[in-house]
Amino acid sequence: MNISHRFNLKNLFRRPASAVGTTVFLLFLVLAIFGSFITPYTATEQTLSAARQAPSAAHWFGTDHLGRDIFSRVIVGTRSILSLAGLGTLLAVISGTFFGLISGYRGGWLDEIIMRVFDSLLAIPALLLALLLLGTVGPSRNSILIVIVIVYTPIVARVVRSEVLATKNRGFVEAAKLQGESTANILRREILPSTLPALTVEASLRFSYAIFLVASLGFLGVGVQPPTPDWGLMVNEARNYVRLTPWALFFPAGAISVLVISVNLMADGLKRILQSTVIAPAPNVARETAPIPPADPAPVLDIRQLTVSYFQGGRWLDAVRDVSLKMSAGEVYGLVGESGSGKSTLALAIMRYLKENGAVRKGEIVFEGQTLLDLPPSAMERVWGARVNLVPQDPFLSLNPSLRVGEQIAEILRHHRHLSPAEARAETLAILRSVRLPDPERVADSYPHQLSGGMQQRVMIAMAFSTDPALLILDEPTTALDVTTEATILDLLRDLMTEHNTATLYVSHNLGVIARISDRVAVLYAGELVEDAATEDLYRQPLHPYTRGLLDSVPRVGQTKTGRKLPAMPGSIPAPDALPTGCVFAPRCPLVTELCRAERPPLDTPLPGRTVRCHRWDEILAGTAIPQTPQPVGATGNGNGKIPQPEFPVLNLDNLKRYFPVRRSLADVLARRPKQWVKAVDGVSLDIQPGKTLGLVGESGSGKTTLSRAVMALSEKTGGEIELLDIPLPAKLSRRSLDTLRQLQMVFQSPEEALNPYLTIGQTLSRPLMVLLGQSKDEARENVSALLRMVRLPENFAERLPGQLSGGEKQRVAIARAFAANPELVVCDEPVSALDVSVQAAILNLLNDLQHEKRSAYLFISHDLAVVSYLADEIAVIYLGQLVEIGATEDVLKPPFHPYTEALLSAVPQPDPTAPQHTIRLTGDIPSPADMPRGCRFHTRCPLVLESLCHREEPPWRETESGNKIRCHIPLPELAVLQSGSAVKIRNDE
Amino acid sequence: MTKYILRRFGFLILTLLITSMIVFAITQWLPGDVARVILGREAGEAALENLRSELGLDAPLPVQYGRWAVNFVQGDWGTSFSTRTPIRAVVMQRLGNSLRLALVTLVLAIPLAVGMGVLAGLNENKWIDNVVSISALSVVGLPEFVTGLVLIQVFAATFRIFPASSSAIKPGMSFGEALPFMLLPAITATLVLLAYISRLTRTGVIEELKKPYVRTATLKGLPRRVVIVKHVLRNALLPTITVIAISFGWLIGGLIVIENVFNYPGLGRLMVFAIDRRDLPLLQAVTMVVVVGVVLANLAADLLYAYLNPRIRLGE
Repeated sequence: MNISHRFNLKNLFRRPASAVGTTVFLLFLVLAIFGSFITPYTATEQTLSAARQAPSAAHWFGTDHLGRDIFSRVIVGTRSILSLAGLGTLLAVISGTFFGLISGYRGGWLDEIIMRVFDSLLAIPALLLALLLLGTVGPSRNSILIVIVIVYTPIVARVVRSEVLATKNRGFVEAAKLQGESTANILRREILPSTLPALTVEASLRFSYAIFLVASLGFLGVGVQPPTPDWGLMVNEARNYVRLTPWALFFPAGAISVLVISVNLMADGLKRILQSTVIAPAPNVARETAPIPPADPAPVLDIRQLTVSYFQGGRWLDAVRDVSLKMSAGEVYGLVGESGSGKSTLALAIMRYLKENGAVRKGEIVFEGQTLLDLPPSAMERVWGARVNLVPQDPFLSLNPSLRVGEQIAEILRHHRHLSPAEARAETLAILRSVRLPDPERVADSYPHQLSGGMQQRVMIAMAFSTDPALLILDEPTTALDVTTEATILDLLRDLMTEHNTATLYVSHNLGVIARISDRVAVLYAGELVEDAATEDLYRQPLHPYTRGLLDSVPRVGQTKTGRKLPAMPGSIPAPDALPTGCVFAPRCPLVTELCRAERPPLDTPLPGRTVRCHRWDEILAGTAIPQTPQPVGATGNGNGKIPQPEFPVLNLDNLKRYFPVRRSLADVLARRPKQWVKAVDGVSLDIQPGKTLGLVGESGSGKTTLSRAVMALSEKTGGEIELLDIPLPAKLSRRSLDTLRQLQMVFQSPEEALNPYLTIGQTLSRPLMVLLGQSKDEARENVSALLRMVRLPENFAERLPGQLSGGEKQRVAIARAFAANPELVVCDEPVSALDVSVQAAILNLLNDLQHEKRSAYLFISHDLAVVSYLADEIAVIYLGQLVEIGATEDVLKPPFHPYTEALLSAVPQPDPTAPQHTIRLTGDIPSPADMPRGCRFHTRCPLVLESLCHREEPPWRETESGNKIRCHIPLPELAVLQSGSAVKIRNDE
Repeated sequence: MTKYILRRFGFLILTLLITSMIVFAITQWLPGDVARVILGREAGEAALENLRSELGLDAPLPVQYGRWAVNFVQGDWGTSFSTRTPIRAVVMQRLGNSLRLALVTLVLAIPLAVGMGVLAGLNENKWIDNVVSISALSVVGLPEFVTGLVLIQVFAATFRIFPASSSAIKPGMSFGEALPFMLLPAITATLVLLAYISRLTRTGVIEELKKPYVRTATLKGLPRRVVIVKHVLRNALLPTITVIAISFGWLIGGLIVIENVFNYPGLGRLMVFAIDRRDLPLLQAVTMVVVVGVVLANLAADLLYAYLNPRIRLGE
């Protein structure tokens, strides 16, 4: 839901409870404002002759022991309590927001002091603190206000602070810092809006408690003083006469209750609107089915014309349409698709584990001869875990954090295989051994957080195979892992699948992974199966233009920008509520015809064992139509020699260090133990030439992001020099000049985080123009159009909010922002890793074109060696905070390699099933930088390790003939001989 | 874990230090001239001066605070302005009464509240959840003095099941003898706590049910009962421990009002008495005793949480 729409308070009237609450509260509000005009008597008027009268026409609520009209007093009391509680809450919210903002944003000792004091204030119960204050300064309206402010400021501050902490490191806030925005502007424009939903909810809750508090104080006689008509006070006075005048008690007490309940209901409604994402469950729907002809031989899984839909906004949206698949025992079926293709929906539908608003509306799933969709839930318990298993993407979240890993496996064995506890334990250890986990006893006794991501996924795989299921569904099982870990997991899976003869559905967006693991491939696009073939056939000769486009748009290792441009598909996957009428791929298809736009193509069978859904497959098969995106003519890369050789590099890093201190306990300080450091970046030196790209690759934990953040001063360097155009830069961002900020810009990884959701694209893009280039508001507004054109976006995008853009479009805006002030160097931190393959190619081309136009240099950071090798002129490989190899791209990609570079190269899954498989595999995980290996940092995982030397001494830098540098103990000629099989074909001449 | 305990304990000391300063500042510094508070407006300058030096008020503020804090830690809580008796004995006796009441309340409230919260959370947006949630929202809105007075009307005045006032509780009464006088106040406090704890428990259960490991457990083919009890509740109830500790502070606040509704001889009544008489040393003592109680409850919750949560127990 769009954020600005959430603040539409009409939504409060959607749910009956919050509608009643809000209405009643508004009534009280009206009474508080106009009440004194309608009261029949003065609230303080005493008529002793009319004392203790029961409710009547003259006195609707009766009179009290002094003969005062209770109706009038209750009405007038409304204003007293609402104004006190309302004003108090308002002041508390303002002061709480102030403290929360500075405490969260500034951090450090100021945060520590503010939070300690607030924690201590919170240790005194609110009412107690109120009594203490009122007891010493004496009761008055002002002191009640002060009390409310003091009591509720810490609570509001905490809420705001936690929102600030969640926001302040997001891309758009950091981008604002890098644009030289003032702290006040950052707090007001970038951070405050993000805190508003939580703040609104908290304010409404505080308001309700403030009413409660004022009433309680009144009741205890220390709040509002007589004769002011205060509800709490009225209850207190009336309780002594409860036998005689019960109505004097009943009406004010009732008023308090009704008011507080109504405010609570309203607050609850606000909370639901602003903070929760409740999905309306799908209504029951009859599934269309067709009679099932018997199949021979019976497949393990037979999916027939399956349509899966989600119920959203009152209508059905199809996530999967008309998909049929057959899988036999031992077969590995790859299911390829980008985000939004419906691949995970299909996987979960087979598991019968769709979200509450999802339903299979058509078709049949036949598993081992039973129609799965007709089974009652109790019968599914016998299928789940025993016959069909799922390995999900995120192993850490998929394991129970508070159960030992061994128990999580053993419980399956006891339940499905009826083993005794002792047998289950023994079998668990055997299974853990079978997934090649070292020291299975230790792993079994560990909790998930004590294992690395790779080990956790091995545990999930162990679970999946533990009952020898007939069908296994793997949903992006290696996507969250490093490429080196991925390679070993894929080897393991391949072996286990062969051994167990399991039918496997392997869901992935990664064509390289699918090529490596599957026998057959089905390609999903916008919920439709567009092509289905044996793996080799599909990769050799794709028959659907989408498949062809996907394969073309993945950069291969060794494919460089100096050659052919990366063919990129235009546009992005259509949303399920905006599907085209004809072929779903028509809007992006290079071969589109009138027929394609008008009519949905049928699923054809061009060759035995192949299906495709395209009107023009016959021409593609015959080679008369080539589904290739036409590329713009002209320069494709920045050819060498076009830029005059400069005097000095754009960026020079000299022995750059970024250490993080390890938190020391008091005992450490007292014992004078030396400070410990985590050396995230430890002495990196490199140059980037003007207009050139340096690619920085490494696994997660290698220090590449820390390095980029130190360069940008988003994280303060510990040592070494950063020189921009020969001028040393200060470590602190606040000390850098506007000119430096202009010259040095950044594109962040996540497009979702990169843009402030509350600002329009135009507002976001005009800020750097105004702050860094000093343009006026009107100039900036005009130039925004030029920026949008520059990144190939329509000009009317200036009016849109980020929520209305796709991921690729957001990243284009982020790139436009970085280029707004003509930077000399743009640091790109994994700018395409969150994007779909078909969108990634277009962004890479855009970056390439912009570099050509603007002559900016890039520091391009990625874990993906193929992407880096495509874009970079030079590559630096980083491991545990230090460079291990650096040189021109072609040189880095050919032997001799640093053993780590070779391992990275051989781990990259190539989208080519016939590609020779290198078998350089790294054992174990990257060590923690807090516990750095001695000698060569890579020796714990190096396949070529020299026992004594590498363990003891840091390796020297060696230079190859072509001039790239490698840091290794093994002499380069020897390395070259050992690695002769791993050469990468450089394809810059296609 | 040892490190964690030490850190928590360090925080506790720091919190007590800061709160004691706050309490001292409010009671000693805010009112201006304490001597005048005691002796009244008509007192002569000489008498005031005498009293000031007698109370040590002529010393610099930090020294005054130091003396006060050291005395408090050593158990010398001073003499009440109004009753002229040593404060500690009274406060301790009242503390005992309040703790008894708190204990009865917690015993009533926790199982009921957690049960309701779990039931509502497991049936999110179904009728049972709506009933629990709406009634919780409503009860939370009723101030203790309203529920208390209603309960008195119903159970004491109309049906005469429980005594309306707890003032009959005398020092030295056994728990069993005092229990009948504690039930109505305890039920009142329970109603408030019930709403609070059950809502937070419900939220915890709903959050936990959305986590992927629940899907893993379900797709293992384990019976629903095992998935809920063994996998979900183990994690969902962890935050409830903290909630209960926080609600202890809430309970104390609520007890101040409840004790006054039922004339229950606990710390809450003593507090209001101290305010009425502007009896500052008594006020300080009562506040500090309550603060120590709240801080200890938080510490206990933190430690229990850490012990039950392997990510903290085995971390660092």
